Amino acid sequence: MSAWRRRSAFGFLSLAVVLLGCFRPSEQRAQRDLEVGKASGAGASVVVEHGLAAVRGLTPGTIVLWGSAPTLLSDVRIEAGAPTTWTLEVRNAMPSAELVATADGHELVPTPIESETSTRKRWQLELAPPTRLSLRVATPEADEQGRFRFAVLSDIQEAVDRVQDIFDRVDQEPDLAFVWTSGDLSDSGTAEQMDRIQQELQQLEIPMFGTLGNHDTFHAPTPWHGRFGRCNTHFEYRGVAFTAIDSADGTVDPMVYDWLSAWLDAAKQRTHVFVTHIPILDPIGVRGGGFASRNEAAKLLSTLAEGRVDATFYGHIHSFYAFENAGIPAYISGGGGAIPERFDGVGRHFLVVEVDPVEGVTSVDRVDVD
Amino acid sequence: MVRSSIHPSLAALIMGSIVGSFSVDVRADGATEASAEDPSEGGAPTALAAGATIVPGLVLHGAGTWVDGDRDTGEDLLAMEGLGLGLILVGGVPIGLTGASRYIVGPAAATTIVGFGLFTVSWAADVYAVAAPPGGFGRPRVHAPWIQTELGYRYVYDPRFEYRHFLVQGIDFRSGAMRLAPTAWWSTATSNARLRLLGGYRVAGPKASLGKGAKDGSSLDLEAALTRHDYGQDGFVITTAEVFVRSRMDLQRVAKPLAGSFMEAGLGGTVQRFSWEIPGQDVPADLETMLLARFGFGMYVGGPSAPDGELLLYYDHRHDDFAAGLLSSLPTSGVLGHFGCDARIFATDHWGVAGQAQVGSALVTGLSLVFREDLQ
Repeated sequence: MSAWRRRSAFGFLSLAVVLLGCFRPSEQRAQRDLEVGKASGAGASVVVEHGLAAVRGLTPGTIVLWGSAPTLLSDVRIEAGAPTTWTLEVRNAMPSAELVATADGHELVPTPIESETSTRKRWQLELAPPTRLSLRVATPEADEQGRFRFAVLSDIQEAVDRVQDIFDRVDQEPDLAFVWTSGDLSDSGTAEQMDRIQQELQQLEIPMFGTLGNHDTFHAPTPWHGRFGRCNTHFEYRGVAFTAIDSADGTVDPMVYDWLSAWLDAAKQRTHVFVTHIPILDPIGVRGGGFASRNEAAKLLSTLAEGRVDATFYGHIHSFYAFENAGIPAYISGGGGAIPERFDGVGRHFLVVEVDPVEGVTSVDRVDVD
Repeated sequence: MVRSSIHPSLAALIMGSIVGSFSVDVRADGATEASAEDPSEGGAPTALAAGATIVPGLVLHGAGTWVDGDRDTGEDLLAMEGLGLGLILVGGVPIGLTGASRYIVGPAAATTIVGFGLFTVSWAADVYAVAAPPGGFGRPRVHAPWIQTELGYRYVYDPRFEYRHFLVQGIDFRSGAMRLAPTAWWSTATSNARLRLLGGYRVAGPKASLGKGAKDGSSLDLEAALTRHDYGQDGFVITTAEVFVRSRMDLQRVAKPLAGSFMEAGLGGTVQRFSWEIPGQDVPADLETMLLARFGFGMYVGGPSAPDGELLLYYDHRHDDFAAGLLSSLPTSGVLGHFGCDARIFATDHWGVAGQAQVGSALVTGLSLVFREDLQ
């Protein structure tokens, strides 16, 4: 084989490998989801159930979590020789969250520590290592079925310097449980940008949960997991199921379809809302702002319809649209401040959604900030 | 000089175009007898000309041809690149400034894709002009067959779907300027079938008729198609109605050294109906629209009588066929359509093979046995 043929063949094969590797662009993020909420060292090992919190810090006597859901369950093993006084800090926590802790089956009495922000909760625990802790951080009403409201806010991107008035307006809205986001919280997904938005989130009086957007993935591997936690999450709050799925590449990884299937089955009998960044089908079809494959889009919508999802929420398009797909009410809300869609009369905004565990989604209202 | 068989440097050109590893070695393996005296006759490229198609040719399209001594063609290709860049700006800037406003995004996206087409083809044409022998690798047929049938196999790798193997059937009838072409893709193991009926009218170009024939392979077609893609196993059916304007221009009309090559471009739109088959639920169907756009660069091989064929590298903005939109780790993931390569080679006047490879959300590849017959 001549030199040019060898080079060409090698180049072609390399290109083929690169292209084939791109059929699952979000596979690595899904794999990393499996590692979220686990940490060991400093005389302790922590496992957060379903990976619903990122372990931000684990030092002798201190555990720091970033919550991805209103209710967190954790299993912590404290080794012999470890400190007897431990502080549990949960950032991005529900303001009224309380800690219920047991050590080897015996209930402990946590001592709350005052914190400077409403979403940063801290407790001190006195232990007798070695011991196994079960921790539950939840609001008193977390398991009580009842109607409640939450906000939807996405696509802040480069507008992080202007997001403060949106957060102010969210804080003025009474009785919101939390903010749910479809992502694009950063402009290009750097660690610095994610740190910055987390700093700004301290202004919010309620936590923000959800998934990431395409802008949050421009730097690979994304720093999201270490800061916000999983890209794909599912939790229940007051009888309503919430599922957030990573579609930042215009597709959903096959591994995530397996998770989604189980989550849909588990929540089939109750109100279930769904968020993902890229609209599954862009209502303006010629724009092509939806999934890369309309076949996959249809498959996902069919799956959601069969799972009796009550509403879907998207971002990515910096406007507001209300429509239906596969009989499911759908809302695009990209009003966090990123370059807006023009000529639509929609500026920066967020949504206030009221849900009822029995009646479903009872209202979706747009709150304009500009 | 027209060759009736596949030139030995054809494979090198394809590889070189794709991976950018094309070098002077190509010519070493497939030297031509063409005179280097007259650049318009496509003499043997120098190492400098071949290299110039990459540096600075990737930026300044036509550089290879220009270095090869054919300044007119080089400047034409540079102008084509400039026009492409201009259209990218004309279409792309408004998209960016308006946040892809629903009121302008359709025409703006179409303009941008046409711009990308001209931009890309101008580079491919430069590589071709430097590498191709005088007259190119082949000549077009100036009549279209009245019937062309196809039976083949396609492998479709899409990790989100279970199907992998498809039987492909197609018949392409032509009568004068009219065309009717039903095709079907049948999954061999899952309940998935894509049926399509295309009707077309050839405004200009080779037709299924007796007589003198067309001037070259250039053509302009108006097409309408109805597609039903049944995902029985996944609970939905997508029915698509579309109109499309398809054009092909033999590039020897632009410059003589481009003889034997052609560019394709097309624009259109669809209306799609998504109907849902959810057990125990009566789910209303959804209607969607979609922009269709396509461009490509190709070359004739052999011909005009057998053995003959053609090779086409293309971009297709479709997001609804098996290949669909391109996934990648880049920010463009999901926005672009797919890339493909179609090759069709006839060993005799009647029998040939067609190969296809597409990369988008899925990998689509396969071969078909093709039969054709001209009007006698």
